[in-house]
Amino acid sequence: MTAPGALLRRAGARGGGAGGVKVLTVLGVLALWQLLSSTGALAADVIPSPAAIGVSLVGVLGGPEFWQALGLTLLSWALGLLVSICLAVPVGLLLGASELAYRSCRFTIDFLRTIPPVALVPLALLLYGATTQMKLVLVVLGAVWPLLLQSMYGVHQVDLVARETARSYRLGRWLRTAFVVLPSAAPFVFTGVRIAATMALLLTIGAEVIGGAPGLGAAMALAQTASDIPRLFALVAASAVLGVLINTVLARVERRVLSWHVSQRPSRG
Amino acid sequence: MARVAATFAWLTGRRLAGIAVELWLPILLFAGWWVASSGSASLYFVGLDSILGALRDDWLGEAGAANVLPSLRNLAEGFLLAAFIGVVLGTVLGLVRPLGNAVSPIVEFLRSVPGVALLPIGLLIFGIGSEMKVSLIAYGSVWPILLNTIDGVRSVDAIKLDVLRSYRVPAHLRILGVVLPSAAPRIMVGLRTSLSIAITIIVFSEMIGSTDGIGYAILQAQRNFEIPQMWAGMLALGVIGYLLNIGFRGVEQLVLRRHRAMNTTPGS
Amino acid sequence: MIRRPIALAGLLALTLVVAACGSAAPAQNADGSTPIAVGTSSTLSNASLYYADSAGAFARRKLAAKLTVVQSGAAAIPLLLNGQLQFAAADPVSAIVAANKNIPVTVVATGSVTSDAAATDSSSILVRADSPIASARDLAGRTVAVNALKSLAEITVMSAIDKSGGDSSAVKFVELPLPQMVDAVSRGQVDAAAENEPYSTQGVHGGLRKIATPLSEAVPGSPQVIYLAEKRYAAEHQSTVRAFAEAIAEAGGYLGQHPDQVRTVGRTSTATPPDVLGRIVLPVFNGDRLSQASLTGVMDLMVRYRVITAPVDLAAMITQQGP
Repeated sequence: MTAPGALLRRAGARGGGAGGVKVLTVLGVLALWQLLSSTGALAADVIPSPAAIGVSLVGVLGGPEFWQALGLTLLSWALGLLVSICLAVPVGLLLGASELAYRSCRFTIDFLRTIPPVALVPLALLLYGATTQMKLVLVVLGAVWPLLLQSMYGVHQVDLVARETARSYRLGRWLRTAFVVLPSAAPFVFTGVRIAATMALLLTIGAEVIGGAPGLGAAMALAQTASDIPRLFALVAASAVLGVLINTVLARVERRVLSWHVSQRPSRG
Repeated sequence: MARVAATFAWLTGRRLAGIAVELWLPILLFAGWWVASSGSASLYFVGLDSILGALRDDWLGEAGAANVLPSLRNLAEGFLLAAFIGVVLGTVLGLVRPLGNAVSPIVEFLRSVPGVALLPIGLLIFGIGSEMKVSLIAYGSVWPILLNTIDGVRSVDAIKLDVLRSYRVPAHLRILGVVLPSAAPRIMVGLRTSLSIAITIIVFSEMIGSTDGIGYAILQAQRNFEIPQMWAGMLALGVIGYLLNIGFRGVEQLVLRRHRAMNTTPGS
Repeated sequence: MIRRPIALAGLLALTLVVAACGSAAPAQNADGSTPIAVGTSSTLSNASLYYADSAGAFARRKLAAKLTVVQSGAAAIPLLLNGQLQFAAADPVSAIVAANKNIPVTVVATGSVTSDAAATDSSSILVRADSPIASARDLAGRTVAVNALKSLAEITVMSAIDKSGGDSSAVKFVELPLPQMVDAVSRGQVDAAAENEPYSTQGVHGGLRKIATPLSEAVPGSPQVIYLAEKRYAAEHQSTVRAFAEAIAEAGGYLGQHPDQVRTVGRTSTATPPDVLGRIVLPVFNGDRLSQASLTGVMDLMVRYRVITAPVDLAAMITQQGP
């Protein structure tokens, strides 16, 4: 075992100084990119330099159109996610409770969820045109599946002993559901919410880019057809940041809401 | 003999019942769709019979192959490229922990870029044509493979690795012989997720600046108000996706059979 | 206890969805004018519509028009059918394709018309300056970008190729947005592009070469933009439709006699910079009423190049206005 190798391994495993290393790496990559762009190795009209993107980003953030577009995207996302949750979670919990229902629905759900929702954009365009309704329909059609599956799976996973205990204590069906089934299924449902949230964002932006509905995606398509490349990259970067933010917020909410559950889990020795 | 026959009958009876449970709902829904839509005067919700007719005429056989085959080829190329890059890069980032930790914010950021948002950029860099689609698929599908490979590689039994290292087994043999096979189940999970993502990307990458493909055909059908053809396309897409998933599950069983055999300890 | 929040959320969501979905236009405004939502594109070909709105031709006929930009004619048709738009600008090809498939739309008015001389034609086929393509005939075996497949652009390009002795069946068409086609030709991603103004002029200024003017060669004097309405709406609101058509014809006639006004309209209705507006070839307008004969040329081309398989009954898809 070579000494530098052992040193590196200890440094990496520590994780404490890792924050600084991460920042340095990011800065280093950006600097390299800037260098390549400045020397012309990267064609400016294909991949702009970080500086150009930064400038464009500042301009984009300063204008009202960006915030309007962002608002429209977030509206479809949030509304679509909410409707999906309200539709899929109750149905999923019900279906998961019955073994017969679970097995009956499995094939159908498996088949329907392999249809990429983007393939439904033409149909949605026919029904609603390039509007917010179209985006909503698309988001709901795509996001219900992970929620449905995760809810069904969650109920399926409820500890049989816990269920039997509740029944032997003669808890009524609703009380059983409230105190045993739902809490056990909750983490699975929440995973479903996270997956559905990412999918909903993807579908909203997808409906905007391809279907032309107003929002961030439409702004990106506009920047591309107008050949405003730095602006295009800036908007794409903004959407990535949006995705990261949503994920982080949801993870935090999950940790808060399910805090009782996680601490109940026995720690592995 | 009679006992064998009786057992056989009992087994198939159970089997048939099992299949019937799984299939009664889809069959009922299909029949219901047929009945509800036959003789339909609605513009957009046409009769199932016309959809199936369009499926037969435009999506199976030669006309269909002209659109389906290019899609499948681009899908395969992009997916395999993503698998290769994902596994190789994932192994490196997983084993060399400091490197993996250092680039993790970049990975987090890059994978949050919605695939659809890359379509305009892909058009810019690659123009129209297959390279754009293959690259887009590769970019979008690589992340689950990468992240799952990193996870799988890092959770290899440390004791095994130490034993191999103390016997001075060279690195490449360690990786190929122990690390990768151990990580195989996680990698398979990643590959499975990536397959769905790849299917989604191939569809929307064919909706702009394309001359053939499944997504292209569905969009064109909609533009020309060929409604049965549009529905048939969506149906065909569902079938293709389902078949691909089944095929993948078969491959997964094959690959993981060895893993299961390897990891069962004697007496367990 | 846990059910109530879910039920409340469900109710809220349902309300929001219902509110978002249904918002039918009121039948009459307070001042007695009829509100109409018109779908249009932000190109100069719709100048007569914008002029009718800004110069008061609509207001004089008690129409309160709200103009919305839609991506294309084909994209506007679903909105016509579900009532979000009362009239929509479209190209004749989309309209005939829709009529062929029994989509209940009817043509009510004409916007700009194609010119009958190359010098006043806003359409063009552009190639790179160093390209070996000298005329439309050399396009056989090449890739041509059009802004929509199976559109007027595509069939007029095929017609141009055939007329100059080439083989139109050997051409590959690819769909790209208008602003991007010039770029695609310059980069060599496609061999030629069927452009319209303002990109025709911008393309030439950017170093591309014009080899043909497909519209004036193939379908001179045909409508380039037409206005559609849903059949049932047209039948139930005949006076509104008549007023709309008259207003458009009046605006078109004025613009036909004062072509410079088109540039003025374009300053507010399009995103084209004023200096470019000053240089480009303007679309042609006239005050002629919609006629079946003017669409026949387009339909014949569509049949010849198999956009539709058989001729369509044009009389049935036009709402003829009295003289």
